[in-house]
Amino acid sequence: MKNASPLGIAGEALLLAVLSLVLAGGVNMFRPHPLPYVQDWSATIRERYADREFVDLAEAQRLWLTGEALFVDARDAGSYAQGHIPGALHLPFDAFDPDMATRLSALPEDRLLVVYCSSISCGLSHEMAQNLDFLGYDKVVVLAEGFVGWQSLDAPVEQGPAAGGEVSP
Amino acid sequence: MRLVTVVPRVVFGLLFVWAGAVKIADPHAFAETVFNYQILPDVLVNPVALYLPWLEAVCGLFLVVGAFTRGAALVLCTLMLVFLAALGYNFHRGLDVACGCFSAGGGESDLAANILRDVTILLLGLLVLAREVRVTRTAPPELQP
Repeated sequence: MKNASPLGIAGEALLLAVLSLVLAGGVNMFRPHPLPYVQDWSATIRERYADREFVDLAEAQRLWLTGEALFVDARDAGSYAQGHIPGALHLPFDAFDPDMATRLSALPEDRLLVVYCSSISCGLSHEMAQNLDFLGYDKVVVLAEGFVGWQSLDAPVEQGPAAGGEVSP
Repeated sequence: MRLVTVVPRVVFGLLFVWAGAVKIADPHAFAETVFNYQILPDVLVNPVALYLPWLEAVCGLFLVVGAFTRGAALVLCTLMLVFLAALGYNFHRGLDVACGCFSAGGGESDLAANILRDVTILLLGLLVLAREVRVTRTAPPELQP
């Protein structure tokens, strides 16, 4: 048996919570690279791909309406079937697939390609665009907001697996 | 103090000292992980990412040394419940946290493993909490300040 501190369990919890808060703030102040209290995460993710060209939702919708771009869906088959941008090609991006480069090469080089995946925190579209860049494609842009962003537009969506299967050479 | 009480308490405490320390070492990476969970509004991501690891490490440390153990165990069990709720929610909506992608299929087995791991940790925590509450005697009213 040991004696309780006079604080009681809630008091102890509160003390520890406050102590942690003080330490967290205090230590952060003295770090060489403190974590900012406020950070625009969408911008942070974008900056990482600074050389990548992006389209915003409005531009993506315009490109879709005029038909001048080919949309490429980088997500897995299940997600694609649940809903995708109408007319989008299905090319699931798999960094570990040894045939990935061959698959990507099946995409036309003369069309503007708009690559997307699920949302702003999804990296598949950026990776695919980077790979396409290495393969010499120069008309590639990324819709960073992804399918989640497209759905927020009240724009039409298509469901079901790709009519001709996945893109293949 | 009996070994069967001390060992789980110290193990549980060390777990969180380690977990907290790892995140304190790289706050930017942890903040991005929190962001990828897509649960908190963007403005809360960094404050939470900053605070949580310290809460873990401090409470873990106090458990290891054996001070304020009831409060420390309570905080950590509450944290585990919160983590499990977050994991469960993302499992339910199929969010693959590692990539931040919503996937109908893959990614779920990782989440399931994490959920299982965290449930085990929570059970250990509840055990520690129960024991600490039991072995800590509250002084009779006339002896309290």
